Amino acid sequence: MEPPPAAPAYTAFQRVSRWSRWSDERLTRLGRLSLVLFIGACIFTTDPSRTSANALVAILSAIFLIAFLASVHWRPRLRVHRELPVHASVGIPFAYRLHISNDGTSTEADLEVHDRLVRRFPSHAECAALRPFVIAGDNWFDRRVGFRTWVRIVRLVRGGEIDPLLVPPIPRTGTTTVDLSFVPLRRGSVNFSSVEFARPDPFGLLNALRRISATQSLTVVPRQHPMPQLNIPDLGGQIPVLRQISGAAAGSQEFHALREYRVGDPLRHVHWRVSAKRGIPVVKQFVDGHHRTFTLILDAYALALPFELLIEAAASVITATNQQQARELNLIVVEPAFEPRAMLSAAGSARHLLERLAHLAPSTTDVFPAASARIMLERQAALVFLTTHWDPSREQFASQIAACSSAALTLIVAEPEARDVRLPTVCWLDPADLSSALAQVRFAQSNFHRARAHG
Amino acid sequence: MAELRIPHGWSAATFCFWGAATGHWFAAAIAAILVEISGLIGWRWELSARHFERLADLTSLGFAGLSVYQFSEHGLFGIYAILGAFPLCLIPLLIAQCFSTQGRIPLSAFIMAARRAGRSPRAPVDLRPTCGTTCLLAAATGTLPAPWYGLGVALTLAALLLANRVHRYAFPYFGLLLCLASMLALINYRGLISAQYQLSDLMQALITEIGWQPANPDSSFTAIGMLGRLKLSDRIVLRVETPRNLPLPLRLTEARYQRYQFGVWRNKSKSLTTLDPITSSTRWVLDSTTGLQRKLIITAERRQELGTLSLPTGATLLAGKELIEVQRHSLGAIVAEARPGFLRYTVDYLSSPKITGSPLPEDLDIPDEYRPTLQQMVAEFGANGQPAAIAVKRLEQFFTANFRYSLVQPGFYPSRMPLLTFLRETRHGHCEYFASATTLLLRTLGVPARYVVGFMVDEYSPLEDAFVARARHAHAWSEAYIDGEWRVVDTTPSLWLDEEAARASDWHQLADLWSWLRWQVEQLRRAEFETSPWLLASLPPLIVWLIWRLRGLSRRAPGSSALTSAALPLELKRLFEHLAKQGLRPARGDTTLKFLLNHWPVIETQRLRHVVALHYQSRFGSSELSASSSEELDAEVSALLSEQWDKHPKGARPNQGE
Repeated sequence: MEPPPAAPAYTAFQRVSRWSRWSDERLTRLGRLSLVLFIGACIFTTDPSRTSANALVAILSAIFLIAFLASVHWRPRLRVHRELPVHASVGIPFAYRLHISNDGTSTEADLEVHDRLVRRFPSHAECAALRPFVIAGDNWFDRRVGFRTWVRIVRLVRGGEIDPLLVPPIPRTGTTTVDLSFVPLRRGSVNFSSVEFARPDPFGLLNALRRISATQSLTVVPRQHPMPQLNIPDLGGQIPVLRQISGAAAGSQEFHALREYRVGDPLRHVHWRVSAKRGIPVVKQFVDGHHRTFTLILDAYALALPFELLIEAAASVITATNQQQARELNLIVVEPAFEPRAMLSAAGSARHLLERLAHLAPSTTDVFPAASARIMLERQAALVFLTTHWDPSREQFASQIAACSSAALTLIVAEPEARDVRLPTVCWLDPADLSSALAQVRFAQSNFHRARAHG
Repeated sequence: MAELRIPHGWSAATFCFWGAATGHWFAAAIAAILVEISGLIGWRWELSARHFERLADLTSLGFAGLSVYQFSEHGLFGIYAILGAFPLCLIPLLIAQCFSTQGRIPLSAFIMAARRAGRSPRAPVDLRPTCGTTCLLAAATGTLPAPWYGLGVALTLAALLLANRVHRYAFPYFGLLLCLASMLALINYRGLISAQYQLSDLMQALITEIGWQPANPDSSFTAIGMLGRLKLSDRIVLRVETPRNLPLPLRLTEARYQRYQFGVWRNKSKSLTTLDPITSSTRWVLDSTTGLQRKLIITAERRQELGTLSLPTGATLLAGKELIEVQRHSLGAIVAEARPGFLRYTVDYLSSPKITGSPLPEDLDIPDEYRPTLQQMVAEFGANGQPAAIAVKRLEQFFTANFRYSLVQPGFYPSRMPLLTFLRETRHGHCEYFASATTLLLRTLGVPARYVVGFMVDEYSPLEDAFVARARHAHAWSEAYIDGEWRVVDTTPSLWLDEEAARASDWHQLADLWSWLRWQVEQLRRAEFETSPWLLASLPPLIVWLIWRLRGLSRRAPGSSALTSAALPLELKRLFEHLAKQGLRPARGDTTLKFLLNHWPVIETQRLRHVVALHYQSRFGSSELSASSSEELDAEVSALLSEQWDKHPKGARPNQGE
């Protein structure tokens, strides 16, 4: 990969980006065309004996001045309310609503709404770190100068780009609702800063702007790749102690929690009273009387790019897990701040785990050999171990989890190493084609004591 | 963002406007018709992105070829020709867009990276607005007068703004704003022109003060086309020492040129021949013709190592200790290599020189755009079919009778060819106009002619104790090949030297002092005269004494002068003898006009100027005074002398300069 451009280039890129942003905000399409024409005329008017371009300069400057004066005074009284979903997923477009209220005394028309995310330029160090995440340009200019790469990094840091939208006329004291769509580019928090309204001047060259502060935050969970559903095996009578404590008969189902209705849920499980109260259909969730736990152990020691792939794999596994079967979904992250306590499960635990994954950062220190010894591996229904490294300590851990769980899986996001992998529960996920690799992963169903993984 | 709306007929209108301005009628008509027809007929081509990419590559090659051709023909000024023809490169793409099924051009046609990626990153583009605005800008390089151009642009832009106006605003309000914008545009235009004048003056002053260089033997940038007043520097650029009385003015030649384009004279041939010095010396033989010779010692100040030398016509021998290498251009310019700084050289020249060399085909070269007007002018002064000598005489009379010298040019050039405006309309200009027009008119008459630049040495400086040539003494004239020899044809009104002198800066004496001091220091450095610490110590009182001396110069009685009544024609001799009776004689360095103006009543200034003009024409012009002019001169002198001196007390005459 080409080395990143020197720091002064990024200063220049910032200036270009600021100018580009200003022209996007303040100039209409016609305005941009006129500005280019004006600049061209200014260049050629340096020698008035050769061209009449000074006439063009005079006319365009007059038009721009009138347009500016006509657009200066605009004070609409608008309010906005944004309806965001609970969370979004990387790469998946989602739609949300923006309610715009006009508290003024006249109808506001010809408005264009820009929903703005928090703008922040990455530092030079951040750019160097994020370069692997953007597709490099395929011509020498992009490789040597790297402005397109810079633009992609800025979008990545921001979280995405929301296209502007024309707003229907808003009558006075009225409200209009518009639907905006957004494709998140990265996981984590995407912060909305303001809503900007633009109204063109009578000549249609310049926009009068009105910015309304509307801060809001949205959690973007990691990208999830399609995987076969991971069925958590029933421990059955294997845990007599637990059965005795719970008093449940083998094979019986007991009420666990309420959750939102999903397509396919049997209607007999709908809790009608709660549904009427909440206004949305809610079903009862039953789990097997026996203890079905699903634990995901994530080794956070990784470089930036492989770590993102690891997170995607973890999110995919969580989503693919048959949540109707799992009573507990646990996530253990092995990082320097590791505490040997699992995340407790709750209703909608998959969502909470995904949100936890959304904010995870990679660890630069390998604490796994020491930390893994402190993980108490109780008899579990299913254990999945994700890592980007493979060494004796991790290999030993993989065999431990294979011994103490009904269904064990070790997923390594790395190039397969040319050595014998003695454990059948180990599966290599090729970083170059993570999606295809995940599509072939599954727990073994037939063998209770051993999971056969296909990698 | 809202799509740009292009009104019907707008593209055709811009093409027609561009065609009318630049002369590309045929292409403009074809484009206008095809673009508008495409909206009326439903027939379309199935064009893929690949077709557009190939078409874009083809037009890019065409643009590259156009650029190479225009730059090679016109040098840096080819950029204007390229701009004027640029819409030609866009027409094929626009027509393809209009007749394609997509109705737009994919961005991959313009961005190579998008082609490799196999997709365009953004929506396809509509080339119509870009083409239209390019036509508006290209039309600026055409020949439309500025008011018509402005009107066309205003109407075109108004149509576009109207089509894209925001309907929230009522039409009367929009119309009112358009009117306001139009009025403001007129004010802007006047202000812009004024600002450009000021800037042009400033740049000229800076260039002549700081960036003066000897002539380039390959090209000469004229001030033809510069607006406003031509400001020339008073800076001394040459010092000419001569031991004997020098017939004034002395013409020093720097370079000759053959081709004219866009206000620049050029030479196609750039060949320089190295001259060998005389063995073991720093002397070069320039011409082996023998005859009565004179000698000049010239000192020039140069900033570069290589530059032309100013030499009198008929130079035979060149000598200079600082000269490293001497080369001769094919048209006679002498280019010398020497250390930057003051360059002192001696030149021997024939007192009756002849300009050698045979004419070349380029000496009859006329730019095509000037040909019709020049032929019309030649017919006007009736020189067609006449022998060369008579034709030249008619030409000189034509200029004398109908043109005048001026350093000021009008605000715009309707035809974008200022030389034609000079010939047809204004009929006043400075020497470059006269010389360029004369050269082209001579060529139209079939007389080989060249444009020559150099200096006219006419001023004596008591401080320098030498004749000086200032930057404003730079001159241009023509040389015509008549009856087997090259002759000087100078149609610039002979009063130009006095006109230039009249505009000398009030600070030029101080600048001259500074220049003199620098030259003295240089001579000290060269140890050309005996140095002693006492000399350096005596500098401060010397400076004081010099300032006192300069102030006293204007009040001192004139000493011996190069002007002797013996050298004057009879008419002026009478004037001089009249003044001699009063005890008034011309001082050393006094020109005829200066002496007469200083000692004749103020009220007669205009008549004196007229008399001296006729005298100069008789003495320095290439043709004798006509009979009527001679009679007029005689009558004027008699009238002046018949005025009684007592009627007009002398009083304190202001220094009118020259």
